[in-house]
Amino acid sequence: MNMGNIVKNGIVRENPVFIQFLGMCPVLAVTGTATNGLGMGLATTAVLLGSNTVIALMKNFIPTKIRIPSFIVVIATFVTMIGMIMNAYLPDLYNALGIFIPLIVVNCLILGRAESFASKNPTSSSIVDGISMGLGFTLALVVLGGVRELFGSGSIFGVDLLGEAYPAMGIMIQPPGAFLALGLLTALFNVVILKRIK
Amino acid sequence: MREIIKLGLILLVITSVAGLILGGVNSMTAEIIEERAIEESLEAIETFFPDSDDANVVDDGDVLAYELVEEVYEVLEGENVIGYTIKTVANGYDGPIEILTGINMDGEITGIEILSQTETPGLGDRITEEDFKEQFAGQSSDSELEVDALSGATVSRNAVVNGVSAATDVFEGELRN
Amino acid sequence: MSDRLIVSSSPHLREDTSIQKIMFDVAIALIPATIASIYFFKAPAAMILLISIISCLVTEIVVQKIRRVPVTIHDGSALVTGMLLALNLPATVPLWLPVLGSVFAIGIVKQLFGGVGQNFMNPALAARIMLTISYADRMTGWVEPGVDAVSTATPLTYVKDFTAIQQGAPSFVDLLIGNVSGSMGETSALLLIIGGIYLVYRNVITVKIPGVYILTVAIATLLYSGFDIQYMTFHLLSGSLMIGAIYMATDYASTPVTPRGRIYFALGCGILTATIRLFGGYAEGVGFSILLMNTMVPLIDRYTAPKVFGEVKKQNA
Repeated sequence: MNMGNIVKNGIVRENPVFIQFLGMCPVLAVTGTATNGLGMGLATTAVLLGSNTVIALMKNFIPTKIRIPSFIVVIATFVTMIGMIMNAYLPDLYNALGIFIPLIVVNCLILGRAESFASKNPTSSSIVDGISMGLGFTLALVVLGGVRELFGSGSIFGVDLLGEAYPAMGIMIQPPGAFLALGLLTALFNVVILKRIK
Repeated sequence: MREIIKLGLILLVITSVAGLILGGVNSMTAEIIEERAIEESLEAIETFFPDSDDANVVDDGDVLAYELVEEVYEVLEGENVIGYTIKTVANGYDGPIEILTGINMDGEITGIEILSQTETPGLGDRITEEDFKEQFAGQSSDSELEVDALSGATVSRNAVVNGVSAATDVFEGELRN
Repeated sequence: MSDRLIVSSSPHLREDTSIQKIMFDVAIALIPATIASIYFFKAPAAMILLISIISCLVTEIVVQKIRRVPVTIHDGSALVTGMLLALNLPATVPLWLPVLGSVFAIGIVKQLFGGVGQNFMNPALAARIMLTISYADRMTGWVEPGVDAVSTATPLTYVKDFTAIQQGAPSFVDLLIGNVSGSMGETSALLLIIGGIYLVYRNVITVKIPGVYILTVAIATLLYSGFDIQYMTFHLLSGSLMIGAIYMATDYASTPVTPRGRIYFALGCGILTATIRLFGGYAEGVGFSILLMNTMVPLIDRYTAPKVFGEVKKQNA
């Protein structure tokens, strides 16, 4: 498959969040700020890259009957590894993301890519797919986190943009705001971007 | 039958490799994580007792036998013990909550810090907010704690209160005088 | 030939009602409470009402233009939403707050889901809850009626966490007339009931939903207080129970279509309201209850759908 197409699919045409609606738990739960969205997105990308690579390499070794447990072991290993590394070197982000780091294991985006792409395609394109899907996920989380943070706290990446006088819309950084923002952004994504690339 | 054994063996190989790799990463990061945890405890002690010069770990079986109590530090200013900092681990809604409580020699809580927790984001994790933690400072260690309710986070709130009460209990029972 | 033979799909019998007629009846029914709110809370109340109605109408026009569908502000539904929203706000809110609420109510809750008749929640109430979650401090800036605007607690705080009415609570007469603090339009139980009677008389609503709703709350509070009639009456007359039960739990689009479903709906609203008021963290639970039950409507409709004539029970395969 054409590498350019894989990249385009991962980031836009099959965007994990706005098109496939995968991994909704972290998407909704940790996007209270752009920073958390970015951290979660990059952590997921790292896991996705690792699992896609390893699974593509091992695809001939793993019998079909036990592929799901094998994939999960690979994914869980990468998640635990990244969790430990973040805890050691990025403690603040690790604490902010909390329980959602171990929960990357059950992010269906990762198992989905392993099952539907990495186990059927060559290693090189699986690596590209992992990175593109990860970046598509990251992009969505940053945009969602940015929008929620802007309306809910008046800042983006912790930088105050709207000033003291702005009456922060508390609902946006609370759970209902996650659903509101996701719905509105998905609509926007469909109208603005999908029309253009079709 | 033979197939099951074969599949089992393959899975065993995969999991063993995974285990080995994780063990490796763990041994590389565990030390850093632990050091940082101690550093955090010391930093919290600084904020509880601005005058402190040093802190020693209290290694007394009677003290550590108290329920929920994990670690106890005596805080020194010069040669004098000016208070204690007690780490307790309480059961939250979603796993253990590590709480550090500072108590000075007059039996006054000088502050609390949540070292680690995995409570529900947006509800239970509000126990880490300053507004919540501030309520403990200034309360006396020999009376019932007075802490506002956290709507939607009763279990998390009670866990913190239990942790802090455990700290005041051990202070009243063993450390005061 | 083609003029005489008209082929159309059902329904073949139509009532002589229209959205417009219904909405203007609702608006008329709200007038006594509206006038009372202006009388009790003076100029700020009038300003909030005006701004709320205008911004609802403007939002409706703008969004319908964007959606490229016919503009339907003449059907009066945006007007009613504007009135209800204003009546759900305290008289002390800053003037941008009703604007934000209107944009949310009309733009998101109503138009994004397809406009009038398609909203799955009551727009005004959804906006109120959105504002309460976002701006709890501003949304609870209750004041005593009058010019001086002394900030005070709402009547419901006199029964919150108690099983009897506490000292200093307003009298039943004040609660009936509306001479108490609270959101602009929810203070006078009597005027809201008068509006409700008008709506029932005009066949716009049936007594079913408000009746069952209020009755459920009555029974629950009666049981909770150990048969203290005064305590029960206090609960019924304070807070937004009346405005909620009569005007917002009866919204056509967001309530079940079957008569039996409506009873379950109202029962659910009543139980939730009583639960939140008696055991929850908030003093008032009407808004949350109605919105929660709004989301249950598809489920209720599904299980209360009447049997079609001739329908046979599905056989177990």
